[in-house]
Amino acid sequence: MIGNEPVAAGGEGQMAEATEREMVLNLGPQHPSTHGVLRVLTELSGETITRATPDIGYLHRGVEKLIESKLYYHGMTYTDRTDYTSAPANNVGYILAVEKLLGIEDQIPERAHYLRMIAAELGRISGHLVWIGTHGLDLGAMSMFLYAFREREKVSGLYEEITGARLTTNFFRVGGAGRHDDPPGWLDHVEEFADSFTLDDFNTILTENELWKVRTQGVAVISAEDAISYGLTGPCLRGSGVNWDLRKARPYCRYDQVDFEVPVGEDGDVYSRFIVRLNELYQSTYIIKQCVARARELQGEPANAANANVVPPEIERVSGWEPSGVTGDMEAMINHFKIWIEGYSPPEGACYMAIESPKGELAYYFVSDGTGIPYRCHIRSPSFVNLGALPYLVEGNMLADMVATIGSIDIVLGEVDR
Amino acid sequence: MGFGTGIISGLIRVLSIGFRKPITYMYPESPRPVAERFRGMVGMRRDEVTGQLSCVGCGLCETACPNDVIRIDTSETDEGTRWVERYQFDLGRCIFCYLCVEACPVDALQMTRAYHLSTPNRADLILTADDMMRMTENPDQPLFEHLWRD
Repeated sequence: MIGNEPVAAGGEGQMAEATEREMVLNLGPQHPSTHGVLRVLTELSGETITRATPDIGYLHRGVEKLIESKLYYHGMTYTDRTDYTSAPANNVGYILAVEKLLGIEDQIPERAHYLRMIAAELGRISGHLVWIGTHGLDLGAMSMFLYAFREREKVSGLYEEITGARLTTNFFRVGGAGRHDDPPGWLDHVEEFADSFTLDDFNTILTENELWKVRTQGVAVISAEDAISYGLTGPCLRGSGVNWDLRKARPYCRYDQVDFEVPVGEDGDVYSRFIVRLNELYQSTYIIKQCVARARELQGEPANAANANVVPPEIERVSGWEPSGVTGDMEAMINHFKIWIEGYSPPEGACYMAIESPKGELAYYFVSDGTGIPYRCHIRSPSFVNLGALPYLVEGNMLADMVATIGSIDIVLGEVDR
Repeated sequence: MGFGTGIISGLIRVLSIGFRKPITYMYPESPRPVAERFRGMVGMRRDEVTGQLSCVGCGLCETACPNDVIRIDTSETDEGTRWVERYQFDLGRCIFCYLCVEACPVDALQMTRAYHLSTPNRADLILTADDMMRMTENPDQPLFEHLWRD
């Protein structure tokens, strides 16, 4: 439970204290504007919010504990389901953390890095498109929702081509890009999408719309100092004018070798967070174009590390299955079985690996006791931390601004509750 | 540029989008084509020679599955050859991650594009190897065809 002071769960105690002038409104957990199963106990004086207390945990599935009870490669499948609007970004964060724990970051081939960056940036585009659609829908721009999801369908199609799944991608593997590489023509399709992607519709309908500006400008303002002290990351922090992006500040993959700008807002209100995210969409397409060009140059090079402890052998070497029996390579077969049964055992120690996910700083913290199963896994999810600033942001605002504020923080409850 | 010009240009844009070509697929009359790698229901390859199950019962898919979907019961013949007595696949638990397909050392588990998998009865979703082989051969048929109406 996040808030200034703990309140009784259920809210009955609060209701008894409410006077004639004040009331407690239970926003959610089944409310379309709470973007999932978020419940906010909102204390109102008239229509002004005096205190808001987010109550979370309705979507808790114990992802961290599940990861702690399984092999490292199993954990990948659960990361899709934390921030499900941008699954590849989560996958990338997870494998980078495991690779850091294993100490094999230097062995990852260049091409795998660029494929990961393309996927992560596609994840950012799809995550931001879900946000712009639902944020618009919350504030009455119904048509925005349709246009954002129309664009997102194209990204889902690109996921489907390379991973086979439209939502829960589970694609990359520790040590590279996995058994399946990018299929022929995929890079062309990605480039086509990046070239054709335009924000004209969004800009014409929302950015320059006076009604949109009235609803968002000057609402839920947070200063740079407060944003830092609340631990905000991602567009919420940059909307307040702090130039902090992990892709620039602590580059991972090959972000230090591509050219892009970090959009920074000024006012720290809902509108400036909106503008930051719109500009990030542009920057993502720009990064994708550079990565596609680079991946084309590296076409034909391996996408997996030459590390037999982590990467299983090619299936053709294992499975020469014929009626006469297995004709495959015996050593490859043993290697294949060893990796799939035992997984890989990082040395004892801990590691913290943070990436810039669409929502902010997404980090995986692992403690290894030297076995194939993580001793501790903690997910530092940006949505959870950003949601902590909600009581501060909405205090003193009108109830209708609460909806705009929740939308502008861009939370995904799958990630908040994990 | 007075107040309201942004609203009006937005409205004009919304109206003009109405005249664009629709992108909707009229499912189920004309289903959307799926990608080559589409991860549908996990299928099973039928052995070309014997016409039987191609699974060798190594149990690697059982280990690789993060969700305890697969259960294999094997037994041994007098000569010490292992054979699969029962292959059970609980589709209701499957999260379509395809780790089992990647782990299979003999390519017995296959990807299919079958995604018409709904049934009102959860017990139906516990599949046998025969169901999986049938779906590999006819991936476009619904899994429970008797429930499917045109």
